[in-house]
Amino acid sequence: MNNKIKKQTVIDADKLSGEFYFQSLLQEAAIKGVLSPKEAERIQLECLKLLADSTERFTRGQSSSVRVEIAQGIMASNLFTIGIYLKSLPNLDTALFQVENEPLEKLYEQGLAVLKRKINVAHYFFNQVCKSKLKTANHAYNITIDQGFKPFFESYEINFHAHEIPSDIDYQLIHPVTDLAGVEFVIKYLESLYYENLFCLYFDADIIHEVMSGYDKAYQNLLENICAQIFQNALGCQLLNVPWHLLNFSPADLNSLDKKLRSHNQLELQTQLKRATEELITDLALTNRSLKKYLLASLPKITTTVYQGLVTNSLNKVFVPRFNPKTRPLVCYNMGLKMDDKAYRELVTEFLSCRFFEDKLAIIKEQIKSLADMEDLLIATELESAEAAKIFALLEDIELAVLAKRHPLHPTIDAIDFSASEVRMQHNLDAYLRTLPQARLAKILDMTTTIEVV
Amino acid sequence: MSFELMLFDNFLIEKQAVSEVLLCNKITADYALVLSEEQALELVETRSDSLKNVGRVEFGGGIIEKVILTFANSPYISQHYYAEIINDLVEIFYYFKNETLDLMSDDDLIGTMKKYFDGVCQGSLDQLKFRELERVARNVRLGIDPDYNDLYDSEKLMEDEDEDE
Repeated sequence: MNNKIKKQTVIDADKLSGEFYFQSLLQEAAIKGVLSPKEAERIQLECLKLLADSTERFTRGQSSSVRVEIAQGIMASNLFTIGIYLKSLPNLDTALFQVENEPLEKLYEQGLAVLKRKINVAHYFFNQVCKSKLKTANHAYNITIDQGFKPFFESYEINFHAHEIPSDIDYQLIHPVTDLAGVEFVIKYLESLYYENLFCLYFDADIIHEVMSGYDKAYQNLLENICAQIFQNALGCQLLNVPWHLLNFSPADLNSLDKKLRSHNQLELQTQLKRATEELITDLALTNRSLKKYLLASLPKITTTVYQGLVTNSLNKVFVPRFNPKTRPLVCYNMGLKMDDKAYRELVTEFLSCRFFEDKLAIIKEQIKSLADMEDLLIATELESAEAAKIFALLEDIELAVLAKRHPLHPTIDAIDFSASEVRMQHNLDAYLRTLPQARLAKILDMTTTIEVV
Repeated sequence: MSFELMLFDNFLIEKQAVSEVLLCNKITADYALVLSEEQALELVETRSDSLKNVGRVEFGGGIIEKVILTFANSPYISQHYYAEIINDLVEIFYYFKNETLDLMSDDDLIGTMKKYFDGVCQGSLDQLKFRELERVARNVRLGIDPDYNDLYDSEKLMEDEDEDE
């Protein structure tokens, strides 16, 4: 039996806001009749008195008035500080008792003490995060840890801006931190990031890099969560009963995963994933209870991702095969030697002077011996698309792949980086490739990824 | 229950403010300057309106008493225009609190107002507001001496700043 006996209170704790705790507590108490209108008025007046005192401290007694937005900020900070103290109490009844029987100024002072302790907690988690930091190329991850929290630890101000979060946080967590503000937000974020780091530390940094490169070659610049992808891959390995530390999937693996999971509805899928998570936790010898909870809590999200992957036949985007960006291309293509400059000039002159296209084709067949010369000729002669298409038709798939790799069509940058003749050639090549059957085009485009031109 | 900021301009608070203003009469009477209860109430209302217009809130006694006591010995204030001038000065004060970005304390701003009102402005509120205090506010925003009065240099400084931006 895991059920705990919970004391019955009139106010529903779930209805209280984490960010505006004190305000929501008063609101609920007023609605439920726990707080009489007279008490509510007393609290309002005390809030104004507290604001007046804080404002005087803020202006150091040099100004009797402040701009409304400054007063609003100070008021929000005061209420946040009181809320922090009330949250630290064992239950709602105690919190309400304090609100009813203690002056707000005292609650505020207590809140300040709690805030100071919480800043120490934030420091602790930040140190833990720094110690467990992953070796990754992801820019958002690195900059968030290296520089994102500097403003917070340098300039977090508990007297007048306790509810603010002066930090530059770019990296996205599996569980985004919501409904919290100030130091509470930072603690929660750092704690979650620490658990994610702890999980990722079970895997080799190079393997993590390869998994993320498999997800996207430019993952360095993406705001993607690393832990979520590693966890998904680990679950996939667990479901396949292959070593989890490899985090890799062959096409056959993905097929068998597809067969294994396709028949399940979302609920069954979650059960399967939960079982796999528990097995993974055992295999990893995970002892940190908070980390276990953190991983299990992410299952609904992962279930949806896997389910969508199955529905859209894109399981390879969920369980990502590893990709090493440093792997040498499978095919090295030599463009061949260029002909002598004089001979080339004569060839181009002759080519351009031809009246019939058949004569031009004959010249190409007879005199062009390398793809390098062919490329030069295609650029220099500025052919019409119909003529160019006939010449492209003479080329093998691999030759087209080489040209496509060397001359990708980027309309936005072409005008700057390429000459008009090159842009024309790119357009002709693009137009020709579009006329090819889908299967052949896919084959050519696939070749462009594995080919290296020398 | 609303926790939005509000000015407590209810009857009791206004009454207390009016009585505080009227207390100043004991001192200003030496300069033959006295406010009636009606004029004091008008002053308190002016303060509330000015605060609302410039988007500020005020806690505590307010600025009216300070303005009254500082300007009481001005040679350019007579009983005939006394209430009207204090009303305008209160308005001007709150306006320039914003214009100086709160960088001047209450006492400094009132002192500056008094200095120019009695000095070059010779009791002209228009000159005080549109010429001298505008310049002071600009100087404060530029981070130079508030009393600095070389228009050419100020403009050059502003141009340099614009170019930097």
